[in-house]
Amino acid sequence: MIRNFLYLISFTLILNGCSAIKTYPDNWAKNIFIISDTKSDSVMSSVKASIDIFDVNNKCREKYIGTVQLKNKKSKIGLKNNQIIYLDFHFLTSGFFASSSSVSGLGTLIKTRNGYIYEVMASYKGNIYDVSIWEKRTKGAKGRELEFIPLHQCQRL
Amino acid sequence: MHNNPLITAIIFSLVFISGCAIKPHPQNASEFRKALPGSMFGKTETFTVNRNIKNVANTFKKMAPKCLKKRVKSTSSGYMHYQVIVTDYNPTVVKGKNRVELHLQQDHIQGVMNVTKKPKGGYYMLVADAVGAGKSKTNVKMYYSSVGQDSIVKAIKGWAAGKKGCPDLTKH
Repeated sequence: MIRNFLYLISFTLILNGCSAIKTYPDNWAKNIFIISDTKSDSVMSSVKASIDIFDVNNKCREKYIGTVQLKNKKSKIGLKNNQIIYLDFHFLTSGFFASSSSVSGLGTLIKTRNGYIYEVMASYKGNIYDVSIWEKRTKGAKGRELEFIPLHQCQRL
Repeated sequence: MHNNPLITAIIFSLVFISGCAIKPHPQNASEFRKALPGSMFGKTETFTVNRNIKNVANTFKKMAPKCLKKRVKSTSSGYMHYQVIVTDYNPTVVKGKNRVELHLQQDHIQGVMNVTKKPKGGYYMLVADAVGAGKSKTNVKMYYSSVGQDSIVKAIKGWAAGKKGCPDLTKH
């Protein structure tokens, strides 16, 4: 009886405690528009894209806010304005039958600004991935492509 | 303990032969270029792109740290075994007069025993030399192993041609 109870507790802890991923609390006005285009090389495997979002304070310390799964070709989310944010893009590739999976990707810092929107193109095809971010006044405007700034170069912002 | 001189001779010979078979790894890009053509899976490839050397150099300088300066952790498990390998990839871009070089090294932090002297930054795995050929063309020569580097080679060829995109370093 006690053993069964311990098994149940362990199982619950594994389900709850071991997963540190939480859904991004999308509480702000939508200002980031993401197009994701992922394609696996094989019908026996899949590619899933996601973004981990972190707030970064003025001491360049990051705090995990949540994760957005890019399930659809187009997604839109809201980021806090006038805030340094670290966007960590991940591409998870996994086989349907094998237990193998791997994650690749890249992250960048951005400083969100009032009155601007951000358009993101995230793609994974043929084992090559790419992420581009443009800052624009309005959708469809030309805007400027943002340089990728790694976390350790936070002082630049 | 055996006293058979034949067995002793065979063991001694095997140790000697296997010991001699391990050649030291190249300690710099120049040694890598020389050593690669004679290695089992070594491959060299030359191509020309319709971009000037300045643009090629700028792309290498932008994309190499963005895409190749990574730590990759891979795990594999099965019956009675579990293995974790952690590898740091270290790219270097060297600009010269009318040329640019991209060197890629891999440094196994965990899970791989280094049996030969490891150069600073890890073992060399790829070198790409780009040399300007007139106002709008650049010749590129790449040195790499033909095994397990398809996505890296594809990405670097793309950078030379002005494309973007990072190789998935987990696909080896």
